[in-house]
Amino acid sequence: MRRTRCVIVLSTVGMTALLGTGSSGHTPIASRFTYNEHLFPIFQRQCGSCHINGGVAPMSLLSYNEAYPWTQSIREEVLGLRMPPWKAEDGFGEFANGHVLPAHEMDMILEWSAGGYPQGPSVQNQTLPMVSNEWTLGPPTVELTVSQPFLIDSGTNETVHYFVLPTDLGEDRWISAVDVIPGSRAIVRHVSLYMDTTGQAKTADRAHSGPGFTSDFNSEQPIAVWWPGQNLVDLDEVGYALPAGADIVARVLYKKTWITEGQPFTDQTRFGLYLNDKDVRTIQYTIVGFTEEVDGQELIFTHKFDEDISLLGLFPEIELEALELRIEALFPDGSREPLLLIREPDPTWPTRYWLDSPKSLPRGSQIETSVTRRPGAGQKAVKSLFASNDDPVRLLIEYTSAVSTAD
Amino acid sequence: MNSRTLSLPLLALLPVIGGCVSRAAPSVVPTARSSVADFPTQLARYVEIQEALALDRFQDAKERLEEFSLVTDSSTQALIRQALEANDIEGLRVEFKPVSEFFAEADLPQGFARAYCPMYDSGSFWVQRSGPVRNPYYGEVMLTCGVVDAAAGAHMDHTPRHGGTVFMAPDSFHHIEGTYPQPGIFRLYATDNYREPVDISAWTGRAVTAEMYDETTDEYVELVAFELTPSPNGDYLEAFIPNAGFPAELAAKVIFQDDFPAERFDFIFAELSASDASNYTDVASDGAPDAIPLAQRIMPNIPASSVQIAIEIAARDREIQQLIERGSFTEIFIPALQGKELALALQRSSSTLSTTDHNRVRIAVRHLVRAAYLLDWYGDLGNRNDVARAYLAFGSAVEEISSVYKVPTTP
Repeated sequence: MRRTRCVIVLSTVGMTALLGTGSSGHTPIASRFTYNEHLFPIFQRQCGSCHINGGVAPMSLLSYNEAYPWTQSIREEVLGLRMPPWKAEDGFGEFANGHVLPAHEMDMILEWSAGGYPQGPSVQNQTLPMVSNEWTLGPPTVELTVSQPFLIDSGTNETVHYFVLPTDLGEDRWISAVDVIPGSRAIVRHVSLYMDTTGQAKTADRAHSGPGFTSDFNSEQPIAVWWPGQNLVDLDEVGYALPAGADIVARVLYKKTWITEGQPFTDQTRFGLYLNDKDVRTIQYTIVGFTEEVDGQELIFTHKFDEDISLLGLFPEIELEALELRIEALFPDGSREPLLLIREPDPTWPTRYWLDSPKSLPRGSQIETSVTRRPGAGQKAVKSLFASNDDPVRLLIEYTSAVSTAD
Repeated sequence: MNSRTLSLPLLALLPVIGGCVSRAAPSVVPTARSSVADFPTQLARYVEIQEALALDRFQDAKERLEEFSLVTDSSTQALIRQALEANDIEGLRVEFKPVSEFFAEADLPQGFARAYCPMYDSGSFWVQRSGPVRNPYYGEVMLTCGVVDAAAGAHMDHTPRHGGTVFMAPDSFHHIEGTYPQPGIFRLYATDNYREPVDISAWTGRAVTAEMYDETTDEYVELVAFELTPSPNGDYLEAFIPNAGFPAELAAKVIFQDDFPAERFDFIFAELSASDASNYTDVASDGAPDAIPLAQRIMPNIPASSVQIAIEIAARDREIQQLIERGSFTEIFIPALQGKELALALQRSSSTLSTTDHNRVRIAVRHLVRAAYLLDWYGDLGNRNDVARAYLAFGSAVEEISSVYKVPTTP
């Protein structure tokens, strides 16, 4: 008998603690924080992109009656650092496209969920947020849409599909930002966009009946990595070179939840490209990984730059269960600077971390990636969004080759 | 952190179920059928169906439903006739929902509780016996999925009844008390959410006195274990541990129900347990619980100076270490949550530090807040391994803070 350990069950475990000595018992309400006064704004800001009616998460957290049955699950997800899915610790690097749940908000959520989850007094002018279908950065330079709706039938619970989106631009341009408006917000879990100048995507498209194709599209540098709730970044002074006539290839992960399982959907997601008219520095990249046999608790690998660079972003992928992934810059003088710290890395939310401001690394600098494995941990293959190898830890480093324009 | 324990199913005790209005028990209107039973009898029959569905026993549930149909009043007859049409267990579960919601709106006698599963059919209620969640809509695959109404006055008393140490079981219903009344004798008592003794005759378990950590699997391998057997009168489980000295350390691994994993409770006895029934007070009967939130009741004084705050955090850290060493896991929450309050206060005042140190404190405080709540939770459950893992996170965060403020971690 397979027994699923459901985590939605609420608990007052921990409330033993809430009454003083070990000889006391639970108290019904032991939280200073209430849903209406304190938790709603946090849930709206930190969770509302997905946990909203019609969102990609299976439940809304934007009203008390919707949130309280999930209190135990909320507590476990926050304590397990699984939710919110943004992982990079603020302070060990600063990032432009997301922020970790701050300590005081974590405290409020955990005290509320363990302390009787009081609803609190109703708050005036508290309006329920609505799903927005507006472009975050305003109208894009180019809007691309899949030519016809794509059907995800009732029997398909998870699938990856590729779509070819011709740009038909007559001149070379640079992409400074990309936005995504899902057609079926409830099932569009993740999107990555690539550029194709070879025509291979169109060939695959033609070979497949219906819109798009399913075979892997091999490309190394995604021009966008999107999941709901991330802040959009307008790169402005740097960009992805978009040659005239290039195609955009969208890789869309459709994933249903227990709410949407068994339902058919059609999706016609829209993609907005923000193009820069002026010449900007082209974003370059390199892909590195841990190539040795995995042995021991600590894995370390480095990449050395033979030129002055301006570091822009880091996109790690990990197939190992790990306690921590840490990336630091090692300068030629022996000093170090923190770049990225992720506790409890989770491969199910692939994320590119854009540095808040470019970091200048002089020639001879190294980027060191270290991973602390979980004792007894295994390895699970994760389809890479940028690498063709199967290294257990991979890193896409994006930079410009000259001194940053921000300098 | 141990993800296995984080996903343990836990019984819920809801103080409020929103959107539901309690009403009096449904009136039992005598009909031409003289066999209509009173509400408690109907409820008991209903629960038999619920329990059969929770165990995926379709035929059993159907038979119970037929029996139930003979004792119900007009209020539910139509619903039950509809349910009797079901040809399979999934169909029966669909029809069981309106019957359940009828009973869920009633005032329930002690021993029964209303439960709610937010997953089934956009949210569904049922009624069950007080105890761990037993979901009739999903059965065995998600047996413990759901929330149960708070039982008034329950869980207000964690006082030892036999001079031992009391832990909360992960199902949040049972209370487990371990005692060491005589040299070489370990006893484990169990009570329910009201601290009434429960029948443990079907429980099994082991008292593990030696084990070895296997790093490759991240598991502890038992080296020496003694069987826990029910006492003749069924009051407790007992294990005989030859050649045990003091402190007597053991892990009780108890299986409450077949097909469920053993739950672990770690005990350290520095001396024999002295049972004194007059030594405890029934907190539940002492009046209403204190309305002041816990965090306010245990709020430490926050010193004005950041260095002094860091010193206080280090002091809480040492206190936690001592409690872990003594096996006093249920007391860890006080220094852990006080340390958390101090750390949050420290963060508010850390802006005067250099950017590097400010960031070190910011990261450490977040780490500490999480670890404090893990210690609070795991301490209650009495699992030493989980407590130790949570402490590693807490201790490393304190070390980082102490390093920034140049505070010694040892007195």
